Parts: sequence; structure tokens; C-alpha cells
Amino acid sequence: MDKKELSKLRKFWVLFLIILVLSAYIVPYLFLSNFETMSGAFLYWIVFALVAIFSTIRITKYWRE
Amino acid sequence: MSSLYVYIAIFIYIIIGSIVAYFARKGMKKGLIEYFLSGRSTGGFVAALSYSATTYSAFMMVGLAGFTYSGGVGALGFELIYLSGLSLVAFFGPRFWLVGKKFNYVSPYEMLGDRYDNQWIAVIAAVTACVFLIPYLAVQLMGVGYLMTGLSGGSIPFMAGVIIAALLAIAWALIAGMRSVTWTDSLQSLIMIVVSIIILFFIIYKHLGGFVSFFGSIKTEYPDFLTVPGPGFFNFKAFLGLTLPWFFFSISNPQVSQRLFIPRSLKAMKTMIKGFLAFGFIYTVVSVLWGFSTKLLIPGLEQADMATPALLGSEYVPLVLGLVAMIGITAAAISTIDSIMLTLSSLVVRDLFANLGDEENIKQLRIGKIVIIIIAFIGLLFASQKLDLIATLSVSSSVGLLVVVPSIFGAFFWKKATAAGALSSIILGSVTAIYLQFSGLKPLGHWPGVWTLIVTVLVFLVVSMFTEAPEEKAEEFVGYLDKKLNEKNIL
Repeated sequence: MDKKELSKLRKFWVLFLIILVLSAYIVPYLFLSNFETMSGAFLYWIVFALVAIFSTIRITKYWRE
Repeated sequence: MSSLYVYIAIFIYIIIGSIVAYFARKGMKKGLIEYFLSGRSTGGFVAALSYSATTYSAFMMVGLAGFTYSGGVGALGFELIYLSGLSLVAFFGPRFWLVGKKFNYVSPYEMLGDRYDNQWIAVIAAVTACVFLIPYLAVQLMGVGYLMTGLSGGSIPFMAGVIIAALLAIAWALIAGMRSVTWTDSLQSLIMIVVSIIILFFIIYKHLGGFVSFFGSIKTEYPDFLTVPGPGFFNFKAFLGLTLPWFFFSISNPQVSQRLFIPRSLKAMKTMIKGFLAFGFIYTVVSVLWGFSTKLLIPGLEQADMATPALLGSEYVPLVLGLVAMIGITAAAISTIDSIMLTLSSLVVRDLFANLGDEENIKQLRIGKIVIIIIAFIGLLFASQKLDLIATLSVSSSVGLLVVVPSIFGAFFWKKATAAGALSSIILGSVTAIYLQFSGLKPLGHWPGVWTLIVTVLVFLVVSMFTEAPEEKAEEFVGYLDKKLNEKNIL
């Protein structure tokens, strides 16, 4: 991969992760605070964590020895 | 529970752990890198399990379950935001690993000292780590003490548990350094996760009618516990104050950031990251569900921290499972303690006594081993005093260690960052953390972690702008990385 492409990917993933992490604060506190079921904040955080986990793994998949 | 059962369970655990530590010693080579970093040749699987055991202490099954008991689902958000902080390792992990190999760093602070061309940064950062991590270690020792006393109905004295934990941690760290620590950690991480899952399933199927009924009961009996702020504990400012320092844990805490030096290859590092993420996700969800199930079974406890001990001591958990749980929590504590001792020892010999020079490796190693014993002794002393001071410092450990974060970012991503910026941000950040933690002040309602991060980032940026950067070193360090990152497709 050339330098430009790498830098573009880097920016994309950093921005994506920042938005994702911010959503873990905003969504449960702003939109789900009256949602008194397991499919509210509980589910949101579970999905958030899974997306964060798979994104992190995806980033490491670019690496080569 | 009879103290005899507790002693038998601990005895079996000691024997198995020590056999593992002994085998780790076989095939161990000589030298400092071998001792502190296991020769930079740890395989992915062991690295993943050890990273998990080191990160997750007795806090999870006791503290996090307690948070859930008193504050509800916010505890899940808190711990999962921490886990998402591992995304930092996808960027910093290979960078640490590459420069670690190239410049032969043993400690992460040694790396900072070299990158900024100023040894004082390593010294001050190492002192900060000792100030915050030794109390944290002492609290883990106290945890084992309280657990054994509690489960034996008081017949095992508090100090017996503390001393057993300290001796085990010393032994497993001394036998083969990082090698015995990672091997015993691997065993302990498996104990931790298996035990926590077994007990959760037992309680939910035996006493709460299965998962569907369990989730239904939470919804009908404690609906507000499924929202934030919910019952109140996790108001937004508290949530932010708790999560912010923990998000940076993977690079701020030296006992885990040092682990970025140990994988044998990038492939091993990938496995380490994947394994840890899977472990962390499961362990977090299980610990939170422990808290919820205790809330349903034993409501009305005054102290949330007592949720887990109360559950284990109750009629809902049979004797054998109670003992197994005790071992699981003890394993979580000891695997954190021995890693912290080993890392602090490497900080002391590499950063505080760096003037010994590389050619005096053997001397450094000897001092390192003595330092492990001294650190354990100080931890033991602190634990025996049960001081509030220790608890406060321990709570503030994640906040206090935040102060190195701007310097670490700057080292890799900002060539104009300066030694003066790094030094002043670490010092002023630490002063802010300690002052706010001890005074109990929360300016504008925000917690110490938030202010510490703001102060340390601002000081780092402003001072760096007005002082001179070590251009030659920055070029060498960042230039080398740029080349390698491109070669290896690292983002």
C-alpha cells in the first residue's frame, strides 16, 4: 500500500473510532435514558463494544510481517 | 465456611501455579531482556491470556459487580468504553514494538526519556508510576485478605491472606521474571474466566429461572437500573470522570504498555489483541451480570462492594463453588500484583538507575530482583495499615497515570514535542491529580480525571510550542517508524 493510501485509511479509522466512542456517551444518555428494557442502553453498549472490537481487529488485519 | 477448606483450596492453587512457574524457568536464557521482557519472544496465545490477567484485577468480580449492584447498566458502559480503548493498541502497539526492538527499550518510560532526549522524563514518570501503582497493588493484597477472612467467617486472619498473596506474587515474579509471570498469568486468566462463567450459569439456572426469566426480572423489579443515569450513581459527570482515565489505560499503565514490547512478531501481537478483546468482552458481561443477579437475590445490602462476598457466602452458592470463586478472585488479584511488581522493578533499574549502563546488565538484574522484594514489602506494609490514604491513591491510580498520555502521543505523532513539555505536563498533571483526589474538589462538578487530562494536555502543548524540540532524535525515532510503518502496512 502506498503512503497516501495508508494515511487516508488511518484518518478514516481514527475518525470512525472517535465517532463510535462518542456515541457510547451520547446515545445512552441522550436517547435511551427512558428506555427501561434490556434492548435499551444494555443492548446499545453491547453492540458498540462488538463494533469497536471488530474495527480494532480489522485495523490489525492490514499489517504484514 | 471452615478455614480448613479455604486453606486446602489455596494450597492446591499454589501447587499448580508453582509447577507452571517452575516449567517456565526451563529454557529461560540469561540477561535483562529475557528477565523483564521474556526475550521479546512471547507467543500470541500466552501474550493474550497474560495481558488479560494483568489488566483485569479483583476489581472486576468485586468492584464492577458492586457498581452494577448500586448503579445498574452504567457499569457495563463504563467497562466496555474501557475495552474500546484497546483500539489505541491497534495504533500504538506496533509502534511500541518496532521502536522497542530497534532501540532496545525495556520500559515504556525509558522510551520516553530517549525519544525526548532527557533522562529526567523517565525518572519522573517512573516515580509517578510508583506513587500510584504501589497503593493499587496494596489494595489488591488487601482484597485477598478480606476475601479469605470473609469466607472463613473470620477464622483466617486478614494478614494471613495478605501475606500469602504477597509471597506468591514475589515467588512467581522471581522464578523466571516475565516468563513465569506470563505463564502463571495464562493459567490464572483461564481460572478467572471459567470460574466466573460457571458461577453465573449456576446462579441463573438454579435460582433465577434461566436467562429469559432473569432479564425479565431485572426489567420488572429494577427498570431504572437498565438506564443511565438510572438510580443515580452513574450521572453523566461521574460516568465521564470514571471512563475517561480508563479509556487510556492500555497506554497509560506501564504494566500493560510494557506488554507491547514482548510479542515475538506482529502476528503474535495480532493474536494478543484479538484474544484480549474476546476475553475482556466476556469477562465484562459476566461480571456485570453477577452484579445484577446479586441485586435480584440479595437486595438491600448497604455496601455495594459487599455484593460479591455476600453472594459467595450465601445459601445460593454451594461450598465448592464458593471456594472456586475465591480462587478465581485471588488469581485475578495475584496476576495483577506480580505484573505490577515486575514492571515497577524494571522502571526502577532502567529509569531510576539508568546510569548503571547496558554493560552492567547483571548488576541491573540483581538490583531488579531486590527491588521486587522491596516493592512487595512496601505493598504489604501499606496493606497492613488499611489506611484511607492508600485507598485514595489506589482509586486515583488510573487518573495519576494519565499524565504520561500526552507525552506518549507526542513521542509518536508530533516531532515538535519537547522534553520541557513532557516533563512539565507529567509534573503538573500529577500535582493536579493528587490535589483534586485528596481535596475532594470537583470544579464545575467534573471529576479529577477530566481536569487532570485537560491540564496535562494543555501544559504539554503550550510548553512544547515555546521550547526547543530534540530535532535530531525526533527525526531518528519518527523517521525510522515512518519507514517501517509503510513497509508493514501499519495504520
